[in-house]
Amino acid sequence: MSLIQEGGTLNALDVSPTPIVPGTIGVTNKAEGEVGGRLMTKDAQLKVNDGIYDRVLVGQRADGSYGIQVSKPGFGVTSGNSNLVMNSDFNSFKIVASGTATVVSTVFAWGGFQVDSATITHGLGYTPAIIAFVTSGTTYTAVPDIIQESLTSGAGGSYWKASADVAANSTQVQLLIKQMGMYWGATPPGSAGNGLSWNFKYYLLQETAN
Amino acid sequence: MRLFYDETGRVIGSVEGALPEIEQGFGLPSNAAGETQPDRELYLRLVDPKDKLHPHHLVVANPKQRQP
Repeated sequence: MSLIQEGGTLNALDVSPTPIVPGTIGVTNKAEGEVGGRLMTKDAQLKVNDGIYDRVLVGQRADGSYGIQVSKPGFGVTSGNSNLVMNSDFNSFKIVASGTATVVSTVFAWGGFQVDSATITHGLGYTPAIIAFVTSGTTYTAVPDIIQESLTSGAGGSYWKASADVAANSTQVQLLIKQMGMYWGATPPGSAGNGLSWNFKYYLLQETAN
Repeated sequence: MRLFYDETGRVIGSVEGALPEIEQGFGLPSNAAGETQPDRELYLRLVDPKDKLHPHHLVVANPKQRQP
């Protein structure tokens, strides 16, 4: 059996299949002794070799199971899980939707608590796991996070904190900026908060949070 | 991708779903006045991780009234 080039025309330069294991027949697109990357198939398995190592394996593995494995450069797919960049044996987070939202933190009175939020109906029908990040400039931090805080010590001192959080149920996602301000002087030191715009990036996952 | 804007026309949010039906299942955010969709050229810039254009830097011209 010779390889058929793309388009269906028999290519006279193609080589015959190379036995990969005595008594079995596989197919490769390299001639005997030819160096370089190659594709190899046998039975229910497909492998991509970079010229030295088998870097990709799709299909049936040595233990009889089926899957996909991709190894790091310099390693083969059978050199151990720690040398793989992808392994279908292990689940991974799957993003079903991503988005952004801006929440403005409201200036409020000292001695109180302020929550500003953006609520979004997601329509997924389940409570998704969420990965979110927030920034008031260009550098994002992971949510939840204490995004700002200020302490003034002494007899007329005060403490103010702003934090970012995210919450979800089976119908909605909520992105929140929470502020609290306390003082221990006779009078509050003006207003608390600074009215910043906080930009969220969020990822809703196929994996559930409950 | 869908973009959401406030009463001043400033883009304050976006959503992109893995499938069109997932994306269309999202409602208007509670702090948004309306929504729009970017044209193809703008969409390609918005989803390019190397492009500095960010949805929050956009202002929507002639924002629509919030849909009931």
